Amino acid sequence: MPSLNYVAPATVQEAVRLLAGASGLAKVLSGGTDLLVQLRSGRTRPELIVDTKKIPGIIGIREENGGFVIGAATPGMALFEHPTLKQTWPGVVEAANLIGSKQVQGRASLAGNLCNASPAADSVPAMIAAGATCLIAGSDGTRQAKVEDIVTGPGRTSLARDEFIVEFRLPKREPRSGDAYLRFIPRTEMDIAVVGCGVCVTLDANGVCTAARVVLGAVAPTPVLVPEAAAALVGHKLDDATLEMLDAAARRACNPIDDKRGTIDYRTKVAGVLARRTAAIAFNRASGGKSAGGH
Amino acid sequence: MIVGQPVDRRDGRMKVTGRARYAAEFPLQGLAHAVLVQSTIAAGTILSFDTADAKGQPGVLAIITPDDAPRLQTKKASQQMVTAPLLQDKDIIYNGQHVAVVVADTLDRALEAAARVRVQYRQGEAVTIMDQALGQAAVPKHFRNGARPPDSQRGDPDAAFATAPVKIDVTYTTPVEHHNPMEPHATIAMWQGDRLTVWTATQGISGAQTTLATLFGVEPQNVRVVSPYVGGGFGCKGNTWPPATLAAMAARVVGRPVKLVLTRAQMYTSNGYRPRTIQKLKLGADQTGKLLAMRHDGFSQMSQPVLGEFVEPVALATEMLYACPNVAVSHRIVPVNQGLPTYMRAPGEASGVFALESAMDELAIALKMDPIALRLANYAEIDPHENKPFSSKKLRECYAQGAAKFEWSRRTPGPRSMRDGRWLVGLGMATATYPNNRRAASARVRLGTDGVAIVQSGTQDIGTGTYTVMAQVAADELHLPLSHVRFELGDTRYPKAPVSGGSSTVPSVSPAVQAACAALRARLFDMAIADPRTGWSGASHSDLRFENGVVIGPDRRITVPQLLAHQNLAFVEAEAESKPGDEKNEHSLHAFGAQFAEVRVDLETGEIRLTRCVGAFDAGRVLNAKTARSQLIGGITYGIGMALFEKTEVDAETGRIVNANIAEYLVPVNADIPPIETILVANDDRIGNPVGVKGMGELPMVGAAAAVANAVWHATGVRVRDLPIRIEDVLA
Repeated sequence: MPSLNYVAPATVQEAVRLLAGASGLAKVLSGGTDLLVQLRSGRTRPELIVDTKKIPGIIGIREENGGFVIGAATPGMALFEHPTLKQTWPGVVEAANLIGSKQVQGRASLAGNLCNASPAADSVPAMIAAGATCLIAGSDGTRQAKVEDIVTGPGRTSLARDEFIVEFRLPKREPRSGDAYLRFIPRTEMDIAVVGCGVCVTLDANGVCTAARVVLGAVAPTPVLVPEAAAALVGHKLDDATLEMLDAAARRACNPIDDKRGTIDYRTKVAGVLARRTAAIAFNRASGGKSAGGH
Repeated sequence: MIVGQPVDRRDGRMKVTGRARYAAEFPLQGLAHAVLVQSTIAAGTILSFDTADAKGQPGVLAIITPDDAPRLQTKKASQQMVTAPLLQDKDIIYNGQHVAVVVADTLDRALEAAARVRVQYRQGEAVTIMDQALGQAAVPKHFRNGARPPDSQRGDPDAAFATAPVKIDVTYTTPVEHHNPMEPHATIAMWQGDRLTVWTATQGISGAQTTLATLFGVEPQNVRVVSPYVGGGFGCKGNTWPPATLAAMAARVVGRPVKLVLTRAQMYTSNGYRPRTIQKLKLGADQTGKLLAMRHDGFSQMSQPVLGEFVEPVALATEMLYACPNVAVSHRIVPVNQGLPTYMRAPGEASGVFALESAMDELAIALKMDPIALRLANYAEIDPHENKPFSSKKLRECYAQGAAKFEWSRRTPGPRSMRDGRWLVGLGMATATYPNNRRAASARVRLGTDGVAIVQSGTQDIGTGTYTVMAQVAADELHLPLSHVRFELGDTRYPKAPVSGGSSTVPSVSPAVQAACAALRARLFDMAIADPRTGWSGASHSDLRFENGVVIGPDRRITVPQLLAHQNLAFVEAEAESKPGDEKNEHSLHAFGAQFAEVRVDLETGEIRLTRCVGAFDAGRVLNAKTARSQLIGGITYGIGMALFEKTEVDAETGRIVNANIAEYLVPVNADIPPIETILVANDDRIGNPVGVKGMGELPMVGAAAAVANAVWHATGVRVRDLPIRIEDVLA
């Protein structure tokens, strides 16, 4: 068995060079709340671990052009404690804060949650709904990508072996817009989503939806952006007929598995219910309400 | 009186500040580390080991396999003994079975080497799922250690059922569950010649002592077992399971002290579990609700007989709970390729009363009767199975006080008849009962010139409050302030006490503590009377009192230091044994309770949330209002886990447990647990034991799952007969 090497480079370039030069499996470490568990269980046996946390700027949040730039390894508690992020993107912050426990929140990062590529990752549908992008560093420099283009299957991403995520960008919030995330778990806390749903909507002055993004988690091999569900909202107010169309579109987008955590029928049904409930919170926020998330 | 007061746990500060030393934390010179290698198949034989790679790793001291493991004396049975698998043969009984032990100078090196041990098997035919082997159901050979047969019958239940106007004929199932105490099992073993010392996480130091002495062929007095703190047991630390024995074996092989700590995953394959049960229930009643016939046939999962025998005695409560003239029960075991099951909090009662009290709810529905009224209509004034009076039974008070606090009267009878917005509301109740067990126990007390009484007994505190309540009993008996009493336990050098199982610790040990303290007082009186300086010669004990460390006579007083000084003694000591008499022949000894649960079920998602629990219990005299309440809320919480979350999942093909961790084996988190209100009905049962207590470790778990299931029916109209209750069940 090859021995495990750990390096903590101080620059993006050095990290990319190390990843590119690794002969075997190399893993990027940010919070480590998934990676360390997988190392321990033997599920992954990398030759090299590149810890990114020493790279300046990779932990931290800054406002830029009305939007937010969030360092890839920024822990969930830092998102929670940021003075303005939560008011601006409450759905994203609430989703990130659902990951694990308070202790886990001290470490767990958006980049880790995304690149672990679990279909049930909580922060990912919320980030996709918010239209988040990420800045990816690699041997050829940096590139921007949409968050929805990262996960390609359970445990798989579109990142090349020499690439890693440096930061996320949340756009400037449109006026009269709002986002929300809900997940459903059998237990009340500390569990993996059976279904997750992120919704971001923009309304006109009359409360009619002008733009929407609806994303489902844990109902397919990857988080799913559902344009049909968004189309059910656009041009409508939040009324029963609209919610019914949204519910149906969300259910049609489901391609879940049967497992001990939930059956196909059940996940599909709950996806529709969650889409309705999440949309209601997002509409409420967009129209200036202070509706709390969670359930 | 200090007994009854809500005294803080005496071990609490030690535990929360990290100074309480648990089994894995004793520092020893030259400590080596053992790691278990486990089978990856569920049935077959080991053909060979390839240990060359592992042996070549740095720091490896030994790799023990069935090829070279020291032979153990497994033929002689003793209390709490588990005789296999202990590397004595090459048979594989279950996936995860220990097949080798790797010992190295550090834990990491032992882990690395263990991962490099290669095992070749000849795979056999495995039956991994109980339901596929029901045809092999067998009569238990050692039911209740032979104290009674596995079946019983009074009257003619089949004939009575056939003609009963109202009938319930249903099957209930409960899953395999694992105990999941906070502290994984751990042992440190050290040999000095033929003398063995083990620091181990156990519910029974005496059983560990005799088991290890028997297996290694040494005298019991040459084995010392130390276990001052145990981070929860719930039954899985009752027996002396193979890891403790293998630690001692490894220490003998390498000639150094060895530590073996189970991983969380190994806690699912190394020290038992609650077996899956299939329970067939038949209840027949007349139109007024009078029970005419009861039949309760229980099947529980077992391992292969070579590992021993364990039966989940699901139907024992059915024999005694209701005044029914025609009752039959039976117990069968179904062998599969899984490890040996064992006691788990209220073994038999938790699983069996779930079925019985759910079926009673079904009967109440069929009769259109209030569930409490049905139970009162069948209230057993005497034990109908043993035909003996109860030593005490305050179950009527439990129903009444629990119902009043819970406001049972607000319940409308029909299912789906109570709502709160998008939530369906359901109220359910069930009965609890558990035997009041007692075994022989000893204690000694020593009083020195500092006025501090040191009381010792070889019992255990598995997180229940033994340290605290025994000090309270001693303080009252000796009329000393609690600050002047120290209680010590968890060492086989102390007088012998039984395993902490069957809720028997307090009913067994507190009488011994009381008796030892009474004996000490008598000894002080003897000394005082004999002391020429008191002038009390000819006085009798009844002329004297002992209070706050002073012997008080009619005319004068003498302190303990004075008494001791007069006789050149450093301390005075007394020891006493207390054991059951014939009370069990004259009376039926049980604790009782009534459980109430309120659930809310989301109309759209089916999510089930408990919003309130009330439990009213007859647990005899209460020694400590605070630790008692902790036991009650802990038991109800464990019952909620059984009702809604807990299930060990087995991959049918490989026999491997797939959720062997507490992320995927769901136990309740704080947010799952509603406010729990508890009532201790006033009682003092001096027939059961001289202190008047009834054990309450297991009682509050009994009936909790049925109360939840009955509430779920009331909310939704769906009767769930297979635990845990899943959201899918109520959406159907």
